[in-house]
Amino acid sequence: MSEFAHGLLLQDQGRLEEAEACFYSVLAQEPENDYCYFRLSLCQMTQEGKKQRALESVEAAIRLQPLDSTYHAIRAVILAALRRGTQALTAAEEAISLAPEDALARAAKANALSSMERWAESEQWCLLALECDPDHSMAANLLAHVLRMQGKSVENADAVAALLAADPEDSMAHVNAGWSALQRGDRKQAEVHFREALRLDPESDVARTGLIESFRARSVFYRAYLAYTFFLQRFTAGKQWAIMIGLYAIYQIARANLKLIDPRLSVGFVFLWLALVFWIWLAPGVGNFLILMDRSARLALDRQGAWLGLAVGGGLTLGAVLLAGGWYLGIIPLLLAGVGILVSTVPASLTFGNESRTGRWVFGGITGLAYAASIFLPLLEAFRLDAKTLHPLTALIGSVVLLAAMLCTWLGNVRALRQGDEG
Amino acid sequence: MRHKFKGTRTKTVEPLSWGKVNRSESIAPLPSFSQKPVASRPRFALLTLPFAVPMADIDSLKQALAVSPRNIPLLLMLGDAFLEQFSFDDARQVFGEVLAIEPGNPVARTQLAQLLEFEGRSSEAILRLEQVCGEHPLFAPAWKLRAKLALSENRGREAREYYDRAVALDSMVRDEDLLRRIRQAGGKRSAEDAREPTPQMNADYSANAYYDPAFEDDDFDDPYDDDLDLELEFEQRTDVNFSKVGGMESVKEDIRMKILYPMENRALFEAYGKKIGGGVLLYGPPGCGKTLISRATAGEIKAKFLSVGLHQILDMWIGKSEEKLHEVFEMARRNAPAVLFFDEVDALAADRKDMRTSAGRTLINQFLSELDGDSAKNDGVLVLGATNAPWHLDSAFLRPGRFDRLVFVPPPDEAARTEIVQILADGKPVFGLDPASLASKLKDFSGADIKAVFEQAIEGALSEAMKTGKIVPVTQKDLLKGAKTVRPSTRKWFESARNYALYANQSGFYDDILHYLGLER
Repeated sequence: MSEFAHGLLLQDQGRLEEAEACFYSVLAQEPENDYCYFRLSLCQMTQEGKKQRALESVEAAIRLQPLDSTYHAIRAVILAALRRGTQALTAAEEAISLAPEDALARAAKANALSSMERWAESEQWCLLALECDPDHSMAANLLAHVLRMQGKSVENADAVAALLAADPEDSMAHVNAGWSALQRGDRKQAEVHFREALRLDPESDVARTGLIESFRARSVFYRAYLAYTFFLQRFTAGKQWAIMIGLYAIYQIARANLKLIDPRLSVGFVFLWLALVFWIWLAPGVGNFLILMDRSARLALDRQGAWLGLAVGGGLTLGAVLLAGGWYLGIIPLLLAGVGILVSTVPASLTFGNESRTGRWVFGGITGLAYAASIFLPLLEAFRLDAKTLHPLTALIGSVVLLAAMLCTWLGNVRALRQGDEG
Repeated sequence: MRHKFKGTRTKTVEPLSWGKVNRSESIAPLPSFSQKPVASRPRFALLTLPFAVPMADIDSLKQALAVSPRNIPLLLMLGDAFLEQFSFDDARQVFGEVLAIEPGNPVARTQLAQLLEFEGRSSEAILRLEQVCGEHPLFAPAWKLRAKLALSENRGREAREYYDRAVALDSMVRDEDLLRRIRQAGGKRSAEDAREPTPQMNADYSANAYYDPAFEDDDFDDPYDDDLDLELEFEQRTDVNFSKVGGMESVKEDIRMKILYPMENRALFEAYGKKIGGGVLLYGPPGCGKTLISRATAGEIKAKFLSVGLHQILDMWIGKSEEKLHEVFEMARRNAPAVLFFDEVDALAADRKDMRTSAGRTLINQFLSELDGDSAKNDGVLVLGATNAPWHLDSAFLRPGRFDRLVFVPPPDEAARTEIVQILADGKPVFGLDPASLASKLKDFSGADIKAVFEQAIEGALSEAMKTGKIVPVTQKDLLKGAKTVRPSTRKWFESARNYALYANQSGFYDDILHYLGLER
């Protein structure tokens, strides 16, 4: 068996690192082997942290064979995964110009448009790709995805059914079916599909993420959060910002008007608003905390997921107990500690599992600050129990921490602080 | 303060690699290897003496490379420096860069083979070395590494042949310790054989101790050549048994229950119509002793042991691999009772769903047929398979009568780690070693990882020795420091294994993994 054939076998088996080593070895002998560069890029693009190298490999293949549309199409897919949507679109169009009737080239364009959240156009190109090849798995899966993202539930259900009928052993088809079920609120069916997807491909991260979502969705509150995110994801990032700013403006107007009618109504409305705002950030952590309570389901969580559950769900529980205890017993330090831990849950929800290194530092720093305040301020007040008012430092630090936590609810929408360098 | 010690023999400690470039020649590019080597070609600018070059400073090398990014000698030095620090991924990347600049560079290719060997992928390393030696037959370090790999597979004579060739090409690669170990494994020349006969190896294997220009042709598989040179040899009587394997009591007990007791109670089994022999699959993370425990199993049942590597079966010619596989089984049948051990069996028994070519499927069908004993009975032949990736096996191999008994070989337990530490410390200038204490800090470390810890500590001591010009002993503290820098390689394996055990365990195949990870539901 030649080294190249061995590499192909390993790649087929999903042993990508070993296949990659084989391809490198082949390239050492045959540096002009464009197909080997191409296979190498396919190996790398699905490995964590290697998308940039995958791009270099496929570009090497293109340098050797610039007229191969497949290479350009794969380059487009890699660029989309690297969140370089515009370049991905250009590469896909290059592929289409070389092979206008190629399903992969068209699917690559659909994928590029999808990465730019241009769902309707993406749907159109998926259909065009399927015109060329009705069995094209990538186009079919992508079509189901973009239909769901647009909230076209009937069409999505049809697309998913067609996917499963075409290949019941396709892990991605089950992932799509799972998300589809989740979006229509059928979490049990979603769990079945995600489990099946994992049975077929136990190392599929998307399937595991879906399974965790279906576990979280056992809570009615979490389902409400999911409905909100499903609603928002139909829109592009710009529109999402516009919606949020619009909702905030409505909130401010409503609050001011309610204050004119009855100040208590206004206060109640503010609390309701804050609960909603914070729930959007805290829901995944609380969901994970509930999963941790389930002996079987918690196995699906990775280390970061477990920490998220403990820091947010555990923090909310502990904070609420301390707050209630402090309030009931009239012990200010206990009350302060409770408030501090409650506040810490907001930045903590953005720290664990955050793909962005910068984001982890920013939100982790604010979380650390909140924890430090939760220890320091109660201690400070504990030494002056006779005082009638809080120490000025308590008011100052407390306000800073509170404002920082509030700021997190806006900073959390900045993609650069949430997403890694690679898709 | 370093401890002085008396009576310890000063020992040449081998560096991890020979990729060092002589400082005086470090700027000169290495010769191109694109042409066929000739006798007048200058010697490769490589050093094999451990004290000749101080440990490279990675930062300064990087700075130098920033100025001269395509400087191959500098890149090789950086790769070596990464190797010394066990930054395997970085080393791999740097050697890859060298190959991107000079695709045939034998130093980088040999170092990459060394990396594979570190990762427990010996068969792949051997395949690559065969290519390097074929293309650069005058490159001594490749022959030396090939000797080491042959030795690790207990093919002493073959190891001796490669070693002698390496030394004949370049006396600087001489390594008395390696030679001693090769001799112990039966790698002796004819004259030595006459002095001290070795009963361990098949005597019909003739080794040519010196370089023979025609040798390279031996590696070429002529499809019309009827004589199969499988390069296989039986250990007539392996002297390894369970008493020689430290710890791993649960694995030993598992093997006793699944293999040894049935063989000892042959009549009882036959009375119930059960066959003796069959297949057992050992699976677990790499570098955790699957090969050793297989050899020890053969020692326990006092059977001949035949170890088969991937490179000994796979052949580029259609039909040849199947023929070789059949011949291997025939050899085992002729030598029954025998243990036939297939390392990296997943490559020979891959899931047919993953196969694009019919050639691969044919080999799998042949393997299944041999396991079933379609052409001849397998009475008295125990087939052991070892794999790091049981999930890539075709399910047909796990049906009754084939690899129907599974043995999970976990990372070494504390007792085994203690023993490994003792073995690794043996003959090295280690002072104040507390094996049990060190072993307790090496949870999840495979045997290969523990070796890396020792290498790391030794490199540190060497660096110190180079500065002071005196032998500096390795201390427990150095080893503990090394343990902090080496990341257990088994963890990555368990990350994958965990997923398979949680989500693809409908048949209970991975129950042992769940049990080991404490994830039983």
